[in-house]
Amino acid sequence: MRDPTISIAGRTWRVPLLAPRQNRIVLPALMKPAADIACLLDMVFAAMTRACPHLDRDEFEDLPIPFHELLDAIPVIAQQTGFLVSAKAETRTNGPPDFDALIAEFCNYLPGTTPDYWEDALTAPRLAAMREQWRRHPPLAVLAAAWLRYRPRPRDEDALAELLRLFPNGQLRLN
Amino acid sequence: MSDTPTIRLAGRDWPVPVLAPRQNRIVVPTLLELIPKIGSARAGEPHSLAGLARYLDTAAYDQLTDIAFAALTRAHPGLSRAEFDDFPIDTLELIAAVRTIALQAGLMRGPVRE
Repeated sequence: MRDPTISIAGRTWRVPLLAPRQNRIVLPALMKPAADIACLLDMVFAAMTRACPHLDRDEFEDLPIPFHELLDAIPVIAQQTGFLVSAKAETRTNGPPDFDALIAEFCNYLPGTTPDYWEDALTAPRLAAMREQWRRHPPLAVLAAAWLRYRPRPRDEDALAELLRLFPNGQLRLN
Repeated sequence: MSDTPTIRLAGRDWPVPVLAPRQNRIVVPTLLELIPKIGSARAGEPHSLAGLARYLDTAAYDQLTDIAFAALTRAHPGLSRAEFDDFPIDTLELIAAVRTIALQAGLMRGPVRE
């Protein structure tokens, strides 16, 4: 399938599905109620680096880019985030996903992969497909944790959760 | 002959190519604030300098010079602001330059030329 394109500085630029490296910049910019031109420029530059990772910011700053080209690029970039399609209303209301947590999850369940790899590989459709696959066929680590009734130790600051972990029925067992 | 549009400031014609992000990050937000003020000034008293003066206060004048300077640096990146601030620039020249600068910033879909 061919990637959609945007026209910037009179040239056509491919915009493949964005990865966390771009979505970390693009999604917050798209969700701002009143985005300014600085945001718009950051967003367009980030999107362009998906297909042209070596594009230099200084070079971009000197490209002859009429403002309307930036505006025209927004719908394509929004679509290529993969998180702003109509079905993902959750993203619109809750803000961008926690990409660090998602990448940690992928590295945990797919040993041998690295955060740097997923930073450039975790597109929204791939995330949805993996989540669906794990729903139907949970990773071994998840099954083992369920079998062992593993409950994660709460963080130090979460005293209430620690109490619930120690006394899951709410009853204090006295010997 | 170059196709690049020009603006006339301090009695000289300055080429203004299509602006780049380096200029547009100054020009676009400033123009968006300034254009309604210029519109009001022109609607109120189209041919009166006194009318212009009423609408274009010091802040608006500074905005006009900011966008003009930013636009000039597209073709003349070595131009210094101190040098520009000493140019003998007519206020009407500044106002006349706004349309070309807005076109070259891409705020209007006109025949943009390099």
